[in-house]
Amino acid sequence: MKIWEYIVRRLLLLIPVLIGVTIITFTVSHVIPADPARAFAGGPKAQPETIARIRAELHLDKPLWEQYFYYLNDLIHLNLGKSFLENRPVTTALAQYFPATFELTIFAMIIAVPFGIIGGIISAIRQNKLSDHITRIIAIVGYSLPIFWLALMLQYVFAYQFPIFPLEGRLSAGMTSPTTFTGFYVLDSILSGNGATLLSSLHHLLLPAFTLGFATLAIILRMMRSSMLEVMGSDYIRTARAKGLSERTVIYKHALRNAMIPTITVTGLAFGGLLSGAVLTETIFNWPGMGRFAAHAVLGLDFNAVMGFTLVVAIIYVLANLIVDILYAVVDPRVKLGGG
Amino acid sequence: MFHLFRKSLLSMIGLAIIILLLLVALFAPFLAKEHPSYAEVSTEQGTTQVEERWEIHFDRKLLPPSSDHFFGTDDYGRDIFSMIVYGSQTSLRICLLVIAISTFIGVLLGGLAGYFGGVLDEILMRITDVFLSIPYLILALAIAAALGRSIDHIMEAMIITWWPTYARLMRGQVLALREQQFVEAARSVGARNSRILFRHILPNSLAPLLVQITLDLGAVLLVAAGLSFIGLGASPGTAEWGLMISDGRAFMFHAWWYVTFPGLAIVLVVLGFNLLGDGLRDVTDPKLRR
Amino acid sequence: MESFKKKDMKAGVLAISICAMFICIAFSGCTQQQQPGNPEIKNPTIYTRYDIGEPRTLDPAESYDSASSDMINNIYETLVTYKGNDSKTIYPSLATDWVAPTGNSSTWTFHLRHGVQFSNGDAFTAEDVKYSFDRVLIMNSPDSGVSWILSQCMDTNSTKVIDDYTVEINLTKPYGGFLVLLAFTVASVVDKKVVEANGGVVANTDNEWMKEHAVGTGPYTLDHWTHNSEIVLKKNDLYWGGWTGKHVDTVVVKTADEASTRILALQTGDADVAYIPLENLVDVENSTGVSVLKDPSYNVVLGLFNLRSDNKFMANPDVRKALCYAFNYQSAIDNAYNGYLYRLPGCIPKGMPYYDTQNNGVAVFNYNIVKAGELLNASGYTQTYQFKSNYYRFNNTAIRIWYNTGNAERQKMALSFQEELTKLGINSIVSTESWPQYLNRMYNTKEWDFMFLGWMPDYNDPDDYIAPFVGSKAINQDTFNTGYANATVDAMLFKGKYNVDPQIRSDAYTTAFNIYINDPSLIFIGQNVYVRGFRTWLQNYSYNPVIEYYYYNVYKAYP
Repeated sequence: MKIWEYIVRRLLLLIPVLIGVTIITFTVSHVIPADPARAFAGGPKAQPETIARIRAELHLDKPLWEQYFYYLNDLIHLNLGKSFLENRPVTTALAQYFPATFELTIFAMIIAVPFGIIGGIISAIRQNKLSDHITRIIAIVGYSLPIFWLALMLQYVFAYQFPIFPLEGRLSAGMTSPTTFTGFYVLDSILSGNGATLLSSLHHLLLPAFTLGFATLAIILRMMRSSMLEVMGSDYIRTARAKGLSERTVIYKHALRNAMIPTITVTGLAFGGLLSGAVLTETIFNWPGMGRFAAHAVLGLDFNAVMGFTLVVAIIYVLANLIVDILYAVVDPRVKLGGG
Repeated sequence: MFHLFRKSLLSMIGLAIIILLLLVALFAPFLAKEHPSYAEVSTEQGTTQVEERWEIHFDRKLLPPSSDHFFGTDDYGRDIFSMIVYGSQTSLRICLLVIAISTFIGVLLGGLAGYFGGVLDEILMRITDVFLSIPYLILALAIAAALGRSIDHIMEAMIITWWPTYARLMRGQVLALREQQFVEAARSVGARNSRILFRHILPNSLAPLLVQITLDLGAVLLVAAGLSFIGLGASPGTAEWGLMISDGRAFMFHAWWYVTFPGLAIVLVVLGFNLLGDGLRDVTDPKLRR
Repeated sequence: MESFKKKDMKAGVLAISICAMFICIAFSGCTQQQQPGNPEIKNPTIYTRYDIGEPRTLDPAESYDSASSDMINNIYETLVTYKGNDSKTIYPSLATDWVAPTGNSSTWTFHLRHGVQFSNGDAFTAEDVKYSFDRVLIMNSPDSGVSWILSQCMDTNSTKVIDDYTVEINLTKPYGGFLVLLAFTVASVVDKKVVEANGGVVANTDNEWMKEHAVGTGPYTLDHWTHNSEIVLKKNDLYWGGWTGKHVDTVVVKTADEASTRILALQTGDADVAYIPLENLVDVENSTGVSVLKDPSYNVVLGLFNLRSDNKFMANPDVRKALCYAFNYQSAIDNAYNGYLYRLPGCIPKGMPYYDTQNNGVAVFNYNIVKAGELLNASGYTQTYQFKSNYYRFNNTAIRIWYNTGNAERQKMALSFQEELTKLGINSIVSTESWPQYLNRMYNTKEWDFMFLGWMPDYNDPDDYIAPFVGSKAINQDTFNTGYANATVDAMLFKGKYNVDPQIRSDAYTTAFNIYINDPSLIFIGQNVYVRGFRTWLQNYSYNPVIEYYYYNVYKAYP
C-alpha cells in the first residue's frame, strides 16, 4: 500500500510542475515578435481576412494572460490546439511522431546501457590498466562530441564514403511500413512476421541510435566506473574479501548490486536528455519523430506544436524520475520511499 | 594537491589543451593569416557594438586544405584556419560568461534555500523542477528565438536554462554541511548566518562546485554550438564554430574540410575541459583514490 | 585475479558478437552493384520524388501551395488543363469542348466528357461540377483564402446544370482570363456523394476529412499519407485515359528537408527526381545516370527598400537609386545563384506579355560604385563619420539588411551587398530571422531598410506582378509594404488591367515603368531558373510553370 500512496503523491506533484512548464514555454514562445498568422496564411500573398481569422483562432488579439487561460482550458479538455505548420491537430501529429522517437530512444538505450555498464565494470576492476585507459578515453570523447557533428561525420563516412548504412529515414525506399500495431517498426515487423521490414528498420536505426546513445553510453560508463571503485573500496567489500569469498562472488554478488544504484539514477536522467538530443539527431537523420517536429515548430514559431512537445517531454521526464526512484527501492532495500 | 593532480596524465593533457585555447585566443592576431575588419553598429536596444566582418573572395571559394589555407576555404572564400583561430575568442567568451553568471545565480539562490529551508526552499525546488523538466535545447531555442539572433542572446538563453543545476548542487551541499559539527560549532558560538554561509559553508562547497564548473564549461560550448547549428545564435558572417559547421553542412560531400575542422576545434576544447574536470574530480573525491 | 580475466573475456566475446550482429545487419542492406553502361533501373514501376516540405491539404477547395497542388493535379481533374511543358495553350480535360462568350455576354458553355468515373466507381456528371464550384465559394476556405480566385468572377448562381453533360457558367463580370482560372486546382471536380457523406459543405469552414482523403477522376488515387515522411499514390484503374502505353503505377513523394539526403537518394537511384539546392548541383552533375533539368521559371528575386523606415534617408529616391547601383548583379548571379538566374529589368519576368515595356527588356541599373557615390555626394550624404580608418555616410547610421533564416542564396547576396556598401562608405548590419518573424518585421514594423523576397505567379498575366509590386496602399496593393505610392502609376495599372487592347495596355505599362524606375522601391535582382536533378532513366519528364508535376505521362526506361 505504501508504494501506491507514494506514486499517487508523486503524480499529484506532477501537476504544479506541468503548470510551471506551460507558463514558461507559453510566455517565452508568445513574447517573440512575430506574425505567425500571416506566415500560416501564406506569407506576402495572404488574404487579410485569413490573417484576421487565424489571429482570432489563436486569440492573438487578446492580452497574454487571457491567451494563457484559453490554452489551459483547452488543455484540460485534452486539446493541444492545431499545428499551423502541419495544418492538423497537435495531438494527431504527436501520436504519429511519438512511436518513432520512442523507438529511436529505446534503441539508443539498448546501445548505451549494456555497453556503458560492461565498460564501467571492466574499467573499474582493471583500474589504471590499459583497458581502463581506453574505456575512459572513449567515455570522455563520448561526452565531448557535439551530437550534430558526430551525426554528420557518421553520415559522411558510413553513408557516403563507405555506404554500408542508409543516410536517413526509417525504411528503404519503395518499402511500405509494416502493419501498424504499435508504431514501432521493429516491433510491428515482428508482430506481422515481415522479415524484410524488420531488417530494413534495424539497419536504419543503427546510425541514429548510436549517435543519440553515444553520449549516454559515456555518462553511464563513467558513473558505473566511479561507483564500482567506491563500492569496492568500502568496508563491507573488504569484509567479504576477508571472509574468503571468491573475487567473482564479491564483485558480482555484492559490489555490482550496490554500484548499480547511482547508475540507475543517471540512466533515468539520461532518458530525458535523450529526448533533447533527439531534436538534433532526428533533424539530421530525417527521422520522422517528435524531435524533428519540434525543431521545425520552434523555427516556424508554431506555438501549439512547441507547447505540445514540451509538455510530452516534461511528462516523460518526470515519469522517468519516478520510475528511477521506485527502482531504487527495489534494488536497495535500505532506501525508503518518500523519505525526503 | 597539485602533485596528485600531476600524476594523472589525462588531466595534464586537458590542462594543456585549455592553456593552448587561452594562448590561441590571446594571440589570434599573430596566429591567423587573415583578419576580420570591424564596424561599429548600433543595436535595436540603442547601444553600439563592434561587429566583425570577414572579406569575401568568391574567386577562391571551397579550396581544399593547402599551405596557403591550412584548413581550406569556405563558400565565401574565407580562410577557415583564420576563422577558427578568431572563433576561439568567441567560444571562450561564451563558456566563461555563461558559467560565471549561472554559477553566481545558482550558488546564491541554492545556498539561501538550503540554509534557511522552509517555504523559500520549497518554492525554489519547484522552480528548478520545472526548468529541469523542459528539454534544455527547446527552452534555449525558444528563448533565443524570442530575443533575436545574436551571441549575446544565446548566452542569456543558456544562463536561464543553466542556473537551476547549480542551485540544486549548492542546496545539496549546504544541506549536507549544515549538520556538520564545525558548522554546529560556529553556530553555537553565535556566529551570524552570513558569516557561517561565507566562511564555513561556501569554502567547503567549492570543490564539487569547481568540478561541476569545469565539466560544464565544455557542455556550454556544446549547447551553444547546437543552437548555432539549428539556426539561432551567432549572426551570419561571424567566425563562430557552431555556425561554421551549420554553414558547411550543405557542402559536406564536396568540401569535407568545411564541417570537419570547426567540429574538431569544438571537440578538442570540450575534451580539454572534460579531461581537466575528470582529473579534478578524482583529486577532490578521496573515495575514488585507491 | 585470474577469474577476472575469464569474465573479461566473456564480456569481450559478448561485445564482439553484438558488434558482429550489427555489421551483418549493416551489410544486409547493401547489395547494390555498379554496372557498366547504364545503371540498372531501380523500382521500374515506382516514381519516387524527394522534396522539401509537404502538402498542407489534399482538398482542392483549400489548396493554395505548390506541394498540395502537385498531389491534387494528379488525383483530381479540372475542366481544362495544360499539357507537357506548354504553359500557354489550354487543353480539354473533363470538358471536351466549350463555347466562349460573344459580344456583351459573359456566359460560357462547357460540354463534359462522357463515361468518366471517380476512383470509387461513381459516375461523373454536370452535377458534380456545379457542386464543386459552389463548394469552393460557400466553404470560402478560412485556412488558405484561396476562394478569391473563383469569387472574383463567380458566385453560387453562376454555374447552371443544363443536362448531365453540359454546364453553363455566367460570370458576374467579364473576365478575359477565365479559362486560366479553370485550370487552377481550386476548380477541380470533386465527387458530390463522397463530400456529402463526409461532412458536406459548411459555410466558411474547412472540411477536415477532405484535407486527408481524396476521391477524384484523375490518373492516381491516394494510397497513404504519412505526414512529413511520405505520400504514396497508386494508379486509378478506372481512369478514363486508360493504362495502355508506358506509365508508372505508383508515385512516392518523400519529405526530406536535408539536402544531403536528397543528393544521396538521387545518386543511388532511390530518387527519380530530387530538389537539389544550387550550391549542391556540383554534387550530382557528374554522377552517372543523373541529369539536371534547367528551365526558365516565372519566379523572381527582389530586394525591397523600406520607404517608411525610421531611417529618413531611405525616403530619398537618390539614395535608393545609389543603392541600386551599389548592388553587384553579376556577382549575385554567378556566386549566389551559380549562374542559375537571369537579370530582370523590371517587375514583369521574361516570357510574360509586356516584358518589353520595361526599357525594352534592358536593365536600367548596373553595378557602378562610382556613380552610386556621386549620387550620394550630390544629395549631401558625404562620408563624415570616422571609425578606425574608414569614413562613413549618414553619420554612421547602419542600413539594416534582413533575410530569412535558411536561405543560402539570400545570405550570400546580403553579405556581398554589405561589402559593397562598405566600399561606398555606408555602414550596414546583416541579420536573419525565422519566416514568421521576418514577416512581422516587414508588415508590422519600421525597423528594416532592405529585405529580400521572391514572388511566384498565381496566374499567367503581368497584372499579377506589376500591380502588387508597385501599386500603392490606396488601391489595396503595396504587397511588400515598402510604402511606395504614386498616383499616376496607380492610374496606369488600372488602365493596363481593365483594357483589352494590347496597345493601350502596353502604353500604360511603359508609362508606369518610366515613372517608377526614377523612384525605385525595389531592386530587380533576377528571374530564377527552375532546377531539378533527375535520373536519366526517367522519360517524358518536363517542367510546366503552371502544373509542376504530372505523373501520368512519365515512365522509367532507357531510350
